[in-house]
Amino acid sequence: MSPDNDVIERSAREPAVFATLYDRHAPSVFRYAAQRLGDHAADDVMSETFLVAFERRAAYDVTVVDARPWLLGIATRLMRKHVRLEATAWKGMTADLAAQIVPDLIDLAGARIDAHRLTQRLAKALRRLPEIDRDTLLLYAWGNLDYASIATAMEVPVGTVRSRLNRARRQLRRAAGIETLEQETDHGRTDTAPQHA
Amino acid sequence: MDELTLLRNTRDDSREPSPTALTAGRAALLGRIADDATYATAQHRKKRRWMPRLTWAAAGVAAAMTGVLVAGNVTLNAQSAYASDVLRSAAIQTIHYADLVAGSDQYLRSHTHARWGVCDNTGCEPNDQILDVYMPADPGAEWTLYRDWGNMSGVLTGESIETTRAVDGRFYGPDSSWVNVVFADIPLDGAAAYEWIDAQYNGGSASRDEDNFGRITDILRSGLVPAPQRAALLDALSRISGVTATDDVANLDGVTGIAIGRNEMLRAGQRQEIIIDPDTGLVIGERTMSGTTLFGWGVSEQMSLTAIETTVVDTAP
Repeated sequence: MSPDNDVIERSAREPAVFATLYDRHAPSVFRYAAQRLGDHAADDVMSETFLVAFERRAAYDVTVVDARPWLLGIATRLMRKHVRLEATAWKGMTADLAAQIVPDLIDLAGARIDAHRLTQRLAKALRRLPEIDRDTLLLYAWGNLDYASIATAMEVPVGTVRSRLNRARRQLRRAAGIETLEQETDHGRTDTAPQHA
Repeated sequence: MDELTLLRNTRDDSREPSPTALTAGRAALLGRIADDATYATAQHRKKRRWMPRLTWAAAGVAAAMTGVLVAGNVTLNAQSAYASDVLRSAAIQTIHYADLVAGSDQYLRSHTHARWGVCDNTGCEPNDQILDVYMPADPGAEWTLYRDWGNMSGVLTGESIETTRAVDGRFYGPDSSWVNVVFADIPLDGAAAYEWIDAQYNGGSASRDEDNFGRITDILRSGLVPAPQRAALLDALSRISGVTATDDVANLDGVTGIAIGRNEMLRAGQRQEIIIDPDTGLVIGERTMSGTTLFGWGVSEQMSLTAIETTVVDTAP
């Protein structure tokens, strides 16, 4: 099987081979978009992502083997026109998020606040994150990208990714009432298995 | 377990696109690919006329087949999606671009070479104008406007060439600044910038979208907007429905960029565009295309074209 960068390079001469990229990555783009926006909008984002990618394929850095970060970067930019939809989706996922996060954070917070209040605070903090921080955080959390791949997706240096994640993390901790801050040092992904999988 | 890992654990890998959505998305892509193949074939045919017609036929069949599968608005969606991506990429590039900044005692100069139509009862004639605006680094100092009206008489002196000075760029009266906005008031986030523009809509233009597009491009065309605000406005433009992009459009001085525009259906399809340099987010020109036969212009003819260049200079005239 040809790697993604070969497929994209070939598509300059044989445009039809670009469809291979769709077959490989469309479900992954859909999953990321669906978790942020819901299934209906994710259908559109998935389709539009590959139309844009095809238009921009000449600008692809062919030294990068895996095209998924590039595709998720395009999807992320396309999703910005769905801000209101995403805010609604965030509310919908609060319960799910709370089920995953609250018990551990309550431990960290020393059980100072109850689960309901903590859930509300966290959901609010997530909704209020600046757009670029939220994009960075969700490419990491739900796009399953490491720091270098997020940097590729967002066209920024890795250091910027690190600082954005630190900032987002601080806001989550502050919302949870946890004062102790640790410097983010994890450059890669050590725990990638989602509990839903 | 830290917050990031906890959030990552909420990732849901069980979601799958429906077969219908997957098929529709693939058909849309194949339709776009077929369009590209048709275009490439047409270019090839111009050069090699002895090529058999089979290629054309094959491309036609492919386009027709995908046309059956793909909804009618796919082309427009694809164009809009491309425009959104171009604008957001330009916004990102703009933030990283080392913007032109006038030092103390210097000016940021916006040079506009415009070809606008002068119309009367018999039709319209093109008229070239030069507009040089000098914005001082000191916000309290006077701005300068040098304007060559071409074949027209200036409104201040009656001469075809005028030079005038005014604080805040209020060359044509205290209520009319050259840039009708305080740059610092523009939100730096794209979504917030769009909301800010949209909230100022007061019922003008043929549609709300046209008015929002016009007010954003009015600010950008000054050529004087600092990079952070420019990035936010480019992002805001991408949020207006019907905005599409055209690659490789030359401005009046022959410099090429990407034209971002929209056709206003309530104005007989007339298309207003700004031409941007995708690497800097700077507006390098504007173009208006007719949507119908009007005042001597045919359909899709260029009604006006400008070139805009921003530089830092030491002196003003």
